[in-house]
Amino acid sequence: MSSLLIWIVLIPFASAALLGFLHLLLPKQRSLHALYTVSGIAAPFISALMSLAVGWELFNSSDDMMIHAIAFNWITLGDLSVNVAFMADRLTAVMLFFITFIGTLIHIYAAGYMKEEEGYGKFFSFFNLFMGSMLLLVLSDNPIMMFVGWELVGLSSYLLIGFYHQESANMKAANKAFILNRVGDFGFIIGLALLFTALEGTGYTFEAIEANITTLDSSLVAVIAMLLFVGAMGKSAQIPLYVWLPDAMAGPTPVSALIHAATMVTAGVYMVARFAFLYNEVPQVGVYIATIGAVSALFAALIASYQSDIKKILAYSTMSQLGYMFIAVGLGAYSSGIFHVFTHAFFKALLFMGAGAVIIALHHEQNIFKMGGLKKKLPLVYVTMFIATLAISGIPPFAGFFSKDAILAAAFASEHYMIWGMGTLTAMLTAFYMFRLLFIVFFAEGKMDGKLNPLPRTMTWPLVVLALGSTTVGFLGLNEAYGGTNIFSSFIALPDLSHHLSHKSEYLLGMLNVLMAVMGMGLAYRLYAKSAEEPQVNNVWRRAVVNKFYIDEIYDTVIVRTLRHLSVFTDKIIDQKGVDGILHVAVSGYKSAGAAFAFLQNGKVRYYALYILSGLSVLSLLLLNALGGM
Amino acid sequence: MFEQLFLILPMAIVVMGAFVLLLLSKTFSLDKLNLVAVFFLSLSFIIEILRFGTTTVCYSFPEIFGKMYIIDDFSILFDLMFTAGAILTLLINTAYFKSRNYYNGEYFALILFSVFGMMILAHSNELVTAFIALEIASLSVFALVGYHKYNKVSSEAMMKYMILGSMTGAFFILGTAFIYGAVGSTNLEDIAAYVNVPAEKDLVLVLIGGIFIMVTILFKMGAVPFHSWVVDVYQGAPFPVTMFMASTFKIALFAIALRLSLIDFASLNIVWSEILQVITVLTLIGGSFLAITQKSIKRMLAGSSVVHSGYMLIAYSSIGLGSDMAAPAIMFYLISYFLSAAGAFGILSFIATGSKKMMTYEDFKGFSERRPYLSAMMAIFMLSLSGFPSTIGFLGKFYIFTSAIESGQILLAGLGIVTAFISVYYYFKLIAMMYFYPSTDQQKKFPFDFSGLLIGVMAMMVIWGGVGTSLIPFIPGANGLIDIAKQAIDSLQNVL
Amino acid sequence: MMEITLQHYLVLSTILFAIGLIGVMRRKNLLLLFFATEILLNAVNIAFAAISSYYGDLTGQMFAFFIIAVAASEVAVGLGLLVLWYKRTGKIDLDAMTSMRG
Repeated sequence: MSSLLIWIVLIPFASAALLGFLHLLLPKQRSLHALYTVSGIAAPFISALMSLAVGWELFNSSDDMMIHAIAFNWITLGDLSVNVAFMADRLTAVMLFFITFIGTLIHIYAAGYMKEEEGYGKFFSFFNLFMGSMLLLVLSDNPIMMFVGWELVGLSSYLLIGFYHQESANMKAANKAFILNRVGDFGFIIGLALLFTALEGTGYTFEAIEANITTLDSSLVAVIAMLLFVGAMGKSAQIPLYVWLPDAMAGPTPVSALIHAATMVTAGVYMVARFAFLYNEVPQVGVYIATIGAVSALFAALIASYQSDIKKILAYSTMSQLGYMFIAVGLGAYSSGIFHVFTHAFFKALLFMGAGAVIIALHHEQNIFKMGGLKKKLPLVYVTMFIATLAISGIPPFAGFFSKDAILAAAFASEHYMIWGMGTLTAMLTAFYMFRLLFIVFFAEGKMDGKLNPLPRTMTWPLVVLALGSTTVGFLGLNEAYGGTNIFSSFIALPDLSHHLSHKSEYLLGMLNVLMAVMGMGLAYRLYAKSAEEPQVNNVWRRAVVNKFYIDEIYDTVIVRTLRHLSVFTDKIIDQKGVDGILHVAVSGYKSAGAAFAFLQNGKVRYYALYILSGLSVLSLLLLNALGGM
Repeated sequence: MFEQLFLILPMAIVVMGAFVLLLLSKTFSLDKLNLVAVFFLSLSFIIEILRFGTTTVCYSFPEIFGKMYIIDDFSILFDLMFTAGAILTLLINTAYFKSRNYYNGEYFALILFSVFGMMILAHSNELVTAFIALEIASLSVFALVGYHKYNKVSSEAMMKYMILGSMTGAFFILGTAFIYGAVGSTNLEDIAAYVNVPAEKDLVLVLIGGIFIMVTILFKMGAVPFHSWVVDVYQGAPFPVTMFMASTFKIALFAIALRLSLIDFASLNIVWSEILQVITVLTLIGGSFLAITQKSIKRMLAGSSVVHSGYMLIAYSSIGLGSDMAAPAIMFYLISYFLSAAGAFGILSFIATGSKKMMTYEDFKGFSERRPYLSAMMAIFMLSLSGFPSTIGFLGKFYIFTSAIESGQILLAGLGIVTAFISVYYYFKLIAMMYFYPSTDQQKKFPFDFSGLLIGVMAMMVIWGGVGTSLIPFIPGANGLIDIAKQAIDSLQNVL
Repeated sequence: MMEITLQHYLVLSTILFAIGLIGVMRRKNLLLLFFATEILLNAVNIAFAAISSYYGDLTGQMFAFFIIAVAASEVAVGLGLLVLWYKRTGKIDLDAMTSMRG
């Protein structure tokens, strides 16, 4: 069983290497497409099967069961001994399940979406690289390996955002994502370093850290927890490190669906849940995290309500939902947070894939105001998108209702009413912007002439599977108030900080959420169901929101330009005049000394013999000197 | 009797191979001769690798030769390096041999003879045996240097090397005579016993003899001020020979040097260390002076090989000051230098196959556009030679400097680090030339053949050793290599 | 009649060695240069033989034979090259060999 863990990670990497190699060798060969497709899809599929086996094993054993697998010893330097080792507990099993399952579906979808593109093999190579890295991240048994996976998903995200690298705007987006993630990673690695220094080599695995965490000073733990969260901020697009996510939509849509909605961006949430034992030590940091999450959720929902690019709307929506997840894990409701990660993966992947289907059908049109009336033309896409929209808006019995309800209930129960209020407001806005999208694209009268692109079956069937998932997975988390037993949270067995809430208040909260969602829905219906014109940007508020509160511009002015001026200054003045000057003097001095030395190298053997003899004489003198001292 | 024969079988195979090659030289084609040579070397290599770590220390034909010829893990590890080095030299240069008209069967025989000499040198437990072994190896290398006999530069290099080589060879035997006079025996163990018993004895003769022997060894290593031949000879010799000398032959000298300082002069080492420190400082500074002024890549690598000898001398002088790390550090450095330098020279000879130019820095302008893979490998070797982290060269330097600090030679370690920085200048200059300048020539189609593949493998090993993992079972990573080196050193110290 | 002791042999050997060294440095003629290296080795041979008889131990004399063999092979290689060099350039002047320097 334990060697399965190694194979789960290894197979996607092997497939990535194989495809990459083939693509490099025969870049223009279209006849290899079948091979690329089969190998590209087989890798996540095999991993998914093996993940199921691992999950089944864990399901049938006690809840603190862990499967370990040590691949090899990576570094041994004195006390520091780091193994490349994998560990699976129930949290991992959940992550594994949806990453590989949804990953496989999106790979199938991508086979249809990307089939006309150049670099088909390269795409699948990168895609499998991402799968392997993500699995490495969730399976690693120590934070160091986790960091390796963390960086590798960043790298594959960079490669895939910049997949259409002919356009410089896409490369800029890729760079932006990469650089902002580095800012976060910097916090993460400093946090890890601090953690290991504080633990004084008592072990590097999660288990060892957990065993020794109580020995640390709690203010130090708070600093470490904050620094680790900075990493999560970058990866999971929270304020203030979120600006890369909307731009990351420059990549192909399957990439947005898999990486920037379903899996990679949730890595931050996973990390916090993985370090639950550490965050439980310092609940005040948790409140801070929850606050950041709530602000991000509301902020992103506001922006999403005014966007007109279909993928940007979904991107801000992702950020908003990630905010929910951080509310949950911040307040110690880890299983609710992971549950939302789980359900969100289904409906958000579905939304992105539906959006991708629309985009392909409309010949790469992304502005929703230029779409319209697609209800008749793309019925399957319409139905599945409708289900996903219901799910994300939190309409029962679709998946989103249960997970979002659990989070808001937790916020209410822990008496952080401000956070709860922001979350509830966001729930309304979510319904509003999602139905706005749905109504404009599918209901309002069409403005597109001409034929639609036909959609291949590989692009539509995954939608159906995910729609089924979006409808049903919510019942896994059905809690007592609604007559369930909350299978999910009892399975995952995370150290939640529990707050009790009476059944009556749970009903009330649930009803309030539904009411909010219906209000948002109604508002969207009134404004956009019949006809949709791109609104005029006429007042200050609207201009501010449409321009995303000018955050990009502010960052550009305050940080980017300042840095550029500073670097120009260091380059032109300090480096060229100062350092280079000194260096030039040093190098030329050394070189002229060398030239003097080379003068001795005159090519005459007799002189060479003389040098040898003089060397011998010097040695003899030294020996004499040494003997005299003896 | 047969047991005894089995002990010397690896060397016997090599020398038999040499004779077979002489016999076949007129009938076989160059490719086949190369294969025959590689076959004999590989056979020897395999026997040695099976034997490593399994034999206890023993002597070959003790009733005839006494304790002249020792077999221990230390010498077996060196044998492995020699045979591996020769195999790589032959295989990487397959194409080069065919592109030149002056190669024939005797060339391969000479390579095998010199490997034979080096093996005997690593095994010799007695000074005169060591001298004869050194002469066998050197004479073969002399002939190899001048192998392009219609080329004036090649002959000139051989003549210079030979005259200086036989002069310093005489120093070795003179030193031996001094020690023989004092001790009455030339066996290393007898000398050690003589030196280490603190009776009222005069050690001056032994010390003077030691100085003379050391001069010869330092000369062949290319330590300043005995270095003057290095640059000229490396330039004049054909590429495969330069590669062979820079990598394999240099290892052989450290074999005898390590054996001498670990067994023989153990109690005189304090005196040695003072003298060696002076030589080390001169070698580090002088070597980088030599390297930094060169325009031809081959001469630059020659100059830098002097600097690398300097690094190893740092650790060598640390031995006497009681650093346990020093001897394994030297062995590790030898492996790392062997990989990187042989790779770099291999690429030069690979390029030289197609042209007959001298190859200066200028010629490498825009090389990455013409040959992206080769230039990437060249960059790896340059990074490793300069001691860039994540290459094997970094770990090599790391161990060397660790040993220096361990033995309290902080200043020497500091100087080593300074020269490592200087070396960045002349190594990275080549990388800059390859990557930051537009190509002057048209892109040509080069064949990608076996030699290229081998060079690629070596580049991988350089990275492999630097990352320091044992990712693939049975293939040791860097930490495995240092363990092997320690095991070999231990076998040597168990003798007494 | 003074008795000839080990000292005398060793002094002779040393003088010969010095002569050899000076020869290597002073001579430009390649042929004489090889003579000089022969002198170096043979000076050591004398020392070996003398020390050997002083100790009454035959190994030293045996070594002398080995050294003679080594010296002969060195000269064989050297003279081979010398002949080649002479055929091509018509000179056996060492100082003409300076095409590589710097």
